[in-house]
Amino acid sequence: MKNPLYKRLGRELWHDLPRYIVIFLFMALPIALCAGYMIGNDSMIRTYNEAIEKYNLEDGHFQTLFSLDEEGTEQIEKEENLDVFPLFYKEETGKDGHTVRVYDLSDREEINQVCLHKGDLPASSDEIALDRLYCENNEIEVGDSFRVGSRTLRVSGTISVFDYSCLFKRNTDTMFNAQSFTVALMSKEGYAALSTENEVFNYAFRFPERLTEEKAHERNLEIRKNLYASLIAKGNMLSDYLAVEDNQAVQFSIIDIEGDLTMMLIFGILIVGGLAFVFALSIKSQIENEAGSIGTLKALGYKNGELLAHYLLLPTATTLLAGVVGNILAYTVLKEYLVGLYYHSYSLPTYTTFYNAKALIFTTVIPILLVLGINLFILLRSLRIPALEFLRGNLRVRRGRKVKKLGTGMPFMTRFRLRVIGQNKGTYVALFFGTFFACVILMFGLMMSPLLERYKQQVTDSLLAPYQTVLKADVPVEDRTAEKVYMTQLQYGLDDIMVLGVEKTGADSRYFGNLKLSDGKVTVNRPIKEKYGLKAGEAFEMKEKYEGGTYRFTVSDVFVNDGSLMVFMPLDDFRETFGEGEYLPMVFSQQKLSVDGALVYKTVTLADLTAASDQLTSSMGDVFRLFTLFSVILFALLIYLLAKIVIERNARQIAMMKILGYKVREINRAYNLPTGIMVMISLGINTVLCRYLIELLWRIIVPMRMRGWLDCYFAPYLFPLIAALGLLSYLAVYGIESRKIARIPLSRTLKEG
Amino acid sequence: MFIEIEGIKKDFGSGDSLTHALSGVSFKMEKGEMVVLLGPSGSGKSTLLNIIGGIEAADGGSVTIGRDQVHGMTEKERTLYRRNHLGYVFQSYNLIPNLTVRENIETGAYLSKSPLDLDELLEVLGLTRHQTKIPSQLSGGQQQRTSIGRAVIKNPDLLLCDEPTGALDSETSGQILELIEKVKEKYGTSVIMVTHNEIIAQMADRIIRLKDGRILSDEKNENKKKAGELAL
Repeated sequence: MKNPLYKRLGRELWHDLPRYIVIFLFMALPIALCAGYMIGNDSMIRTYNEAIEKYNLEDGHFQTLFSLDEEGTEQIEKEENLDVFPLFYKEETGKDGHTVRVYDLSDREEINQVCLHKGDLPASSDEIALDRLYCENNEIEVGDSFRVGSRTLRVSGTISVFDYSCLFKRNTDTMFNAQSFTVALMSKEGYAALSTENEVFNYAFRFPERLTEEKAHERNLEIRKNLYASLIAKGNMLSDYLAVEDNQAVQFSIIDIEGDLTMMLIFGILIVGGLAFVFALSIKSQIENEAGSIGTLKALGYKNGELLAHYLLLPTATTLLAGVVGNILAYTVLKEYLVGLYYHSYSLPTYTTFYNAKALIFTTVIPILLVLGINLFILLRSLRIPALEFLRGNLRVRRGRKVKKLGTGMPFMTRFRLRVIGQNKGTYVALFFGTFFACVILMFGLMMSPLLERYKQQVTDSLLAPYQTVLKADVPVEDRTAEKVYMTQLQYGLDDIMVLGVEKTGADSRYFGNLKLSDGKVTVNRPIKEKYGLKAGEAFEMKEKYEGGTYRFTVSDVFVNDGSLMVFMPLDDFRETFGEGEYLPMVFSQQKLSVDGALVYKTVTLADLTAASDQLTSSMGDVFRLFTLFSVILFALLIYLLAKIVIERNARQIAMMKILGYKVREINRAYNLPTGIMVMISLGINTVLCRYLIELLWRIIVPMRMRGWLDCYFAPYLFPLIAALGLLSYLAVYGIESRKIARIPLSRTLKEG
Repeated sequence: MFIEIEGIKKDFGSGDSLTHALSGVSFKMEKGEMVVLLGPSGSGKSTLLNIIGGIEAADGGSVTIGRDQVHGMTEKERTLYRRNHLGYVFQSYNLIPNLTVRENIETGAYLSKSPLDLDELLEVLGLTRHQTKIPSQLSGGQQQRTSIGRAVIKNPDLLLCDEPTGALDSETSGQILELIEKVKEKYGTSVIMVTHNEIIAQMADRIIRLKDGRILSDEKNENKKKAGELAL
């Protein structure tokens, strides 16, 4: 015969519908998010990997100070066993000072091929195709006019090129920039018609055969070294060399997509695990309320397994339903939305959805196992108690166990609330961890905007000069505001750090007044100190980018200046350290330098330095808002579920208190206020814990994953704001639970008990 | 007259399942009197007690205690009415499981501006050495003593007892009844007690017999016995 207890499941579901709906939604949403991420990310990762061959992605590229003739290119191909493809570009100024990096379309027939999103590729010399994401960010449509330098062109189409799946203007940039930087394509004639002033002699290359990552690394080191030496010997210079593995424009998107997936899965498991715990607490409280009936059933001969099966059925069914609905939501709605978030950040080629069974299993089987595992563990402990104890209702405190003494000098209500807290320890532990989790998400969601604003302000405030121009040759500069220093780049950690040889400091300098230099030592700027923890007196080693040589420096001072990572040293030391000619002049000035454009290697302005924060605000703004909204809902639902458990567990006692003559307000103070107190205590502790945890993770993760440095900053208003949001969530729940207390029927509740 | 109950009616269910729990019950009671509502299961005695106690509303009739008209009171007014006038003792104790004996009794004291002395009452109840225990560490009799303590500490005008010895053995039942009698005498509390036990009814000043929601008889108990004399 079927277990007759199953007959009450429908009634139980109906009786407790709000709880099951809340838990169902609470589970279905993260499951949908996880499944959506798994499907979307997996499809994108597969599309990405296929695109490497489909679009003939380069294995790397190098740039020379002066262009190579055909013979020079062939010689490199032969000596280094490479296929080299000239892929020059010209950097032009577009509207609002945006940077437009224009390529000749015909150069991309064999390498780094083009994915057309809308419209056509440029056919005539007055047409231009622009990056899809840049167009979206700047509301540019096919057919619009677009200014490039002094010319006005027609936008023929929107494109993406796989070597710029993420729009990094420079590989050393902290963040990509799809707001004011775009890759563009023009016809051969169109490209030729642009000024050659800012042309970069860029050469993409491919190895003739596929190499393992290790082998490719070895080859790159070797080629880089050889090229560096051979070009110097010919009066040229290797101005950049970048293996595809090190190219942020290619790698950043996929690292981010893969990293997000891991983060999302951990997030999903934590949420479902937390909910399983809430389920278990709620069933435990149900068992306590039904102790008499359970005792009778046990006395009649019902086995623990039969009782367990009964109590586990609804949570398992809810989880299964949440898994199924979550997956349907993932495939129908969320996948597109989540993939859309990536397309709003990255210039990826069009992707194909691949349906995967792994996502389905992970988002249905694992939650069920989690719910079953946690509930089994807790319920088995509860049901182990003998039938007689159930009949007596002695489930919570066993005979002989000491009761915590509370001084009678303490007001009665205070002691009452402490007893309620003691009775619901498990519930409040769940509340503590749930609040911690919600707090991390909330704090992260709220902290990023002020953090980026502050970064922008710091960079603006500490800008050394409005124009910082790196020249290809040491030519005289006619500008009264100009100060020349010398620059080379060395590698430290993830970063390409600019090392400057400075001659004038203090009163003699307009730009380095506060810079203190010591002979034989270097001064690092504040971001280096923050990111790598380098302090005065400490020695550190930097690597040469192309030749693999190392340099050991000792820090003499920290220069309070934010923005790019920089090391300063006296010019004489600089020259002695780097020899003659292996560096470039860099000019700091108040206005744009009036020198021949062909001599300018690059110019850095304030817009370049603040591009990182602008880009992050644009591409992550929605995500930050989503985080904030989700965590506030999480707070409210969690408090609701746990406060509900406290009230339900004590329904009989509350009914009795009402009979005694307690007002609803007083009962609220006795049973709801402890939850409020615990919410605020949990929130207070967790806000502090989260702050330090985020700061710790920031200091660990940012140096590993991000070039440059952003201070981990918590705007002072965050803490009262989080407390206020927590309090508001609690007050909303307080209102609901207060009504529930008022509605607890007196005689029926006592009779049911 | 301290309590006047007039034409109380109460139905449960509707249509075919309609049950008349009380069909026009009326009686009066003097201050300091002990009335026993006696009757078999389903006679409506507990329902009547709940209506007097303001935890259930009557469909008709009126309950007047002192100057308070229970009928027609809002939920808030009934709460205040219970708070100011009543003490309640149930068969199933209904103690708060996570509070000690002392604290359970204090839940009653909290509601009164001039509660009885707690330590003295603990002594009267014989619970002094158990005061720091919680209900699950007590016997049934000790739990019921605690429940009585909680009801009387606020010195109520009226003590309502719903089968207070229903779950106890005869010896413990005797002790509990003696305690109720002691409280009545010591503090002058009026008592209405519901029971189906004819022997217990012998300790009442008046016995009201109920059957099928009607009063069968309402008589002064001429052979009133002390609780200690009852042959339980």
